[in-house]
Amino acid sequence: MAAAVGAAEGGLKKILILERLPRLGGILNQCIHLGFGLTYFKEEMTGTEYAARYKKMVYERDIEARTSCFVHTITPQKEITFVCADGEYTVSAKHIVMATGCRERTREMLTVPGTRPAGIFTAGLAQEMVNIYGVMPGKEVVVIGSGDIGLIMARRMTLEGATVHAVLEILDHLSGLIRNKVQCLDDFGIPLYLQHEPLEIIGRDRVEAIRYRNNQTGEHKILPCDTVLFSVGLIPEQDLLIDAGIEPGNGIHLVGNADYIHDYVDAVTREAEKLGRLLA
Amino acid sequence: MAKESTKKFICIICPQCCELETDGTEVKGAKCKRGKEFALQEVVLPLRVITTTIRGEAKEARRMIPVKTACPLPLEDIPQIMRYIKGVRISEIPALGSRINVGGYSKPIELIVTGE
Ligand SMILES: Cc1cc2nc3c(=O)[nH]c(=O)nc-3n(C[C@H](O)[C@H](O)[C@H](O)COP(=O)(O)OP(=O)(O)OC[C@H]3O[C@@H](n4cnc5c(N)ncnc54)[C@H](O)[C@@H]3O)c2cc1C
Ligand code: SF4
Repeated sequence: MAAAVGAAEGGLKKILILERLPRLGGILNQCIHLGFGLTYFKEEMTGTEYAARYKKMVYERDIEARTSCFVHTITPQKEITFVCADGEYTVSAKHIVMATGCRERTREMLTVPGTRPAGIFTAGLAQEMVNIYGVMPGKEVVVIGSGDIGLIMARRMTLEGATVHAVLEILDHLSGLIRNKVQCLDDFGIPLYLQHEPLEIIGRDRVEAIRYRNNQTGEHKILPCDTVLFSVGLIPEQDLLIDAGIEPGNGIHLVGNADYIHDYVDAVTREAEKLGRLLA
Repeated sequence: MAKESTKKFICIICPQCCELETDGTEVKGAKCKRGKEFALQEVVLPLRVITTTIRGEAKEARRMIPVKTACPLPLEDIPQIMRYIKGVRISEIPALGSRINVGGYSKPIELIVTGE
């Protein structure tokens, strides 16, 4: 959205946004917590408010936005093929801006030994389930990883009535902001175990417990739970380029989390607006 | 005032995360006025804005409607307040920024719709 607004400001006439989901805004739509917009809009808002405010800026300009359109191929000649409800289309462009966001790392989920029962989720998927669909992933929760997404989800699950038994962090320090530890963990009495490593997920059909090690003392412990949320990092989503064997450049641009992982949406917005103006 | 009676907090108002110390009248460590106010309030009664969702029953609307409380509420009452908020159902599609009143708690709770 921000790249489109930047380009429109710069005077570019034909701009098309393609979004696979039914609404614009990306990850912001599932971020119902406060902490967005402090630098860009100079006020603290929720992710959903930020998305809504910015969407208005798109609709006020001469920008065509199509939702529920999945881009499946792009070519070095800058042809874009996408599918939507009424069929498949190919368009060609002078510039393609890939603002495809990021994926959650799941490698750690796979390298923790044990059975593969139900009840293992990435924190972002759990966030989408709870905040958009109103479905709870489970009731007795352990969070792996102390980044902001893990902390925010520990609070969210608690508010919705689940018990979060612990947040395990392999490092000797918190990954997220202290402010999020205070208002997401301390406020609700959720313990943070630093230098603790998950060793095994136990359970047949459903998660029954997690075994972990205190890496300082070497002590092993088993903590009963029915849900494990992994919040262990994000990776830029660049599959469209990788599949086509294309490097960015020659009119193909990466921006936002698709380029590299940003902590604040305000920074994503600024960079994307700047890129948009450059392209106009 | 004696050192023992001071309390330390991490300010949660903005990402600067200043380390605050207060004896209830003076605040050390705050980079701005809002941090000072936060610390003084925090010693008396910690308050938090709650962000959550309420269930929408209109077919075309998003299922879970994001909301925040219009003002910060006592942290210790959050579990109780959440029960009242979770009972709310709305059948129409609420406009962004519209307000919804929730009863049950010792004073009326006002929610602001934060998404569309
Ligand atoms: C849990 C969490 C908490 C956060 N907390 C904060 C915070 O407190 N404050 C803050 O400032 N920032 C926060 N952030 C970060 C911020 O929200 C993001 O950095 C920013 O919104 C990323 O924007 P983006 O446009 O790069 O990616 P995204 O928002 O991920 O958007 C990518 C979009 O591309 C679409 N897409 C992908 N592939 C295709 C395709 N092939 N075809 C069509 N469409 C496609 C996706 O559907 C998506 O809508 C948080 C992020 C998360 C996940
Ligand atoms: S004191 Fe001011 S600058 Fe420091 S964290 Fe609080 S609000 Fe931010």
